[in-house]
Amino acid sequence: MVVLAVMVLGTFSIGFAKGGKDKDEGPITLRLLYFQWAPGNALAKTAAGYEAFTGGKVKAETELPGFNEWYAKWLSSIQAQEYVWDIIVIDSQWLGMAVDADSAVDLTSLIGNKPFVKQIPPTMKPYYMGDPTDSGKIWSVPLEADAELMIYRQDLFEDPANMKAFKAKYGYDLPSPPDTWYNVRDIAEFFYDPENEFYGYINKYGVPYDVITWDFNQVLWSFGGAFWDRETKTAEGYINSPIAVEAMEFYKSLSEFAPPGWQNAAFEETVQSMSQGLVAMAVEWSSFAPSITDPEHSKVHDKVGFAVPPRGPKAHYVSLGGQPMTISAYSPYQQEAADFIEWFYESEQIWTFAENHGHPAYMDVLSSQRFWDILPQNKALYEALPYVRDIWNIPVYNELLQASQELLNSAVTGSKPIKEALDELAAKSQSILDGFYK
Amino acid sequence: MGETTKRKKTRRGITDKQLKYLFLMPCIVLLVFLILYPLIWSAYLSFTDYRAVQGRFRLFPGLVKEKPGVKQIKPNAVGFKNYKDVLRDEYIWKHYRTTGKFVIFSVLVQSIIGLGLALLFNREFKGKGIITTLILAPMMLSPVVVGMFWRYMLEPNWGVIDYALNTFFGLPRIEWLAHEKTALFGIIIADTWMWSPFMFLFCLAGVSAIPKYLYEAAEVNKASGWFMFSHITFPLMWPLMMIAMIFRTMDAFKLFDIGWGMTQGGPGFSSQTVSMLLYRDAFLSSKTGVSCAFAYILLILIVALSNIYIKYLLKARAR
Repeated sequence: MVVLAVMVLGTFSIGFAKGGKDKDEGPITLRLLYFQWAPGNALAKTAAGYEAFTGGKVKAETELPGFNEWYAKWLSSIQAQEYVWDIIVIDSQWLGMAVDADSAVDLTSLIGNKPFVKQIPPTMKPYYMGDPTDSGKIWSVPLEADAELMIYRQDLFEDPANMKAFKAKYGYDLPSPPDTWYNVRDIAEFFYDPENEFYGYINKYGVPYDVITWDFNQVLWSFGGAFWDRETKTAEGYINSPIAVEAMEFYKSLSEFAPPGWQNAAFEETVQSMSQGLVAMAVEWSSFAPSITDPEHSKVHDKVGFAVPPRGPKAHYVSLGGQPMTISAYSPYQQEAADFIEWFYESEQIWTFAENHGHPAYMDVLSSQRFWDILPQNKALYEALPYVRDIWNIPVYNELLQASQELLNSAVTGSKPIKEALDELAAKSQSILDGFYK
Repeated sequence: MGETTKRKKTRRGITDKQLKYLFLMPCIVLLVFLILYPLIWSAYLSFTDYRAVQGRFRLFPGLVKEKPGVKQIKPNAVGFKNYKDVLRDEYIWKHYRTTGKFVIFSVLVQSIIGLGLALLFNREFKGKGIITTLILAPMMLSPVVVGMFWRYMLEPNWGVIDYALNTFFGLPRIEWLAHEKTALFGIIIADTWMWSPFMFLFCLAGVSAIPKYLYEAAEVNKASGWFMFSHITFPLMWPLMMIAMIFRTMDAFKLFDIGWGMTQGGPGFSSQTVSMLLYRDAFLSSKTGVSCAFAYILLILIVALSNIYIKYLLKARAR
């Protein structure tokens, strides 16, 4: 594996690679990279209209590999420093790596003053257009806006018998949707009925990709904690603070009401648990929700409601997902790529994207009834805007993520005591941060 | 003689010696560029602090004119630091223990199943050809695909395995991949399903090659079935079985695809093998220098392990 990668890189190093590409004569083809899912298809559909707009001078082609291949392709391209795509849609956390590797173009002068930038929700801007170098530059613009949502069985929550029984047991009205994280635990317990294979709550507890880190962090923030302090680049004393331990204890307690196999739950398990009618509540990204309301894939397509994840005892935060667009530093068509992005943000295109199940970070769209009518979760996404927050977009994101995925999962599954796991995570994170910043 | 060689050369325009090198050349070129060069290059990088995402590292920077925007770097030499770090890291050794457990259990179980099937199939019966083909089918699949579908089959809510165990045997849900103690065994089951046919194939070849007269002589002497197995079948097929075990051990030590598809190393890192960790370090965290050192240590271990087998194989053959 490593040897193979080294071979590829080494081949470039002794000069077999061209090291870039000159501009082609004649019609230009802009190459876009994203991954295969509803927003990816929406981008491809929207981009297909660019050729007609430019009178055949510029064509936009979208490559949509699977999720895992998407990351691998992007990473190989920045490692090889080769021109493959002009516009690369990346996960918001990868930006630091892209900028550190000099593979993303500084968009400050190319795009920074365009009118559409004013339409980007201010709470999303620091993350989708955030600067990993802390020097006020712009390296990316949002494509797909995403946030975690609470998905709940509206039919069960509004059933009079359930409402009555819940009030009798807990002494307060069954809140629909749940208002606080403590409500979530009570409701999960109330609906938990393993003998009939029905469970209270599921979210992403597993090791794959970034799932447990982002799911836990919105609870951590809402309990008043934080993963790290960006300004001082400190993790020690944050992720292992007494508040973090309390948040993890609470987060772990929710798993008592989760369906079997929750220890590995990632995107698919969470969506399946909800769409197969196994759980009363789930937390999942807005962009993954369409299959839950799709009659072909879901038993509960007409029974679910979407809401902003609840507030915690100290604050109210929601994990931000989504993907921004970057322009490749190795592209010979950087100006053309910037022109495409400007065109994409015109009203007609942005609506084409939204109507094909994309979620543009564009205020006029997000706040409109027309957008809310496209998909049932769209209104909740808009309502989540004031609360969204992201963790890292720094160059050592992947190392931090690897440690947090393993150790948060170890804490929640009980393979390590919570305090021990969080202390270990704090020490590892600090060592990674120190290694990079000092 | 000299005249003959000269005539041969004249006719072909090339000497026999030159022809020999000509035939060897494609293989040598492939070996140099695909094996030797990466080995030397990665060995060099293992003594540096190189990170692949930081920029392009050219050994001879002036040789090629870079396009604008391409960042060049020169990594620092760190001596044996990467090797020391890897060897001293308790976290990595935990992964070696997990890998060792996986190798021992999977190779052992696969050998037993392969041997058992070979003994069963060492006779003529109706449909032998079709059944043999069906048994061999799993090892022709992609390991990633095998990992993915075993992940779904072992899923406790909608997976067929727990459903079948519960319906037909009344067993409770095992939740194979959800617990630290069982996740690795879930992967062993999938790996065994995929690779037992490989052991079967080698064992069958070994059993089939045993001369029939040995059994006939044993039967004349009224030898028991166990005696024939322990004194004829097993000793004679053992060298071939051992070759299969060498291949399987080397392959199991490198386990990645099936495990990655099933658990990605979780829960925690309970089912994470060294190859998965190496993948994370090399590709996700781009710690190229350290990962090269890690890969070399892994390579040395696999070679050492294989040598132990080969030693026993030679002994067995000598007997």
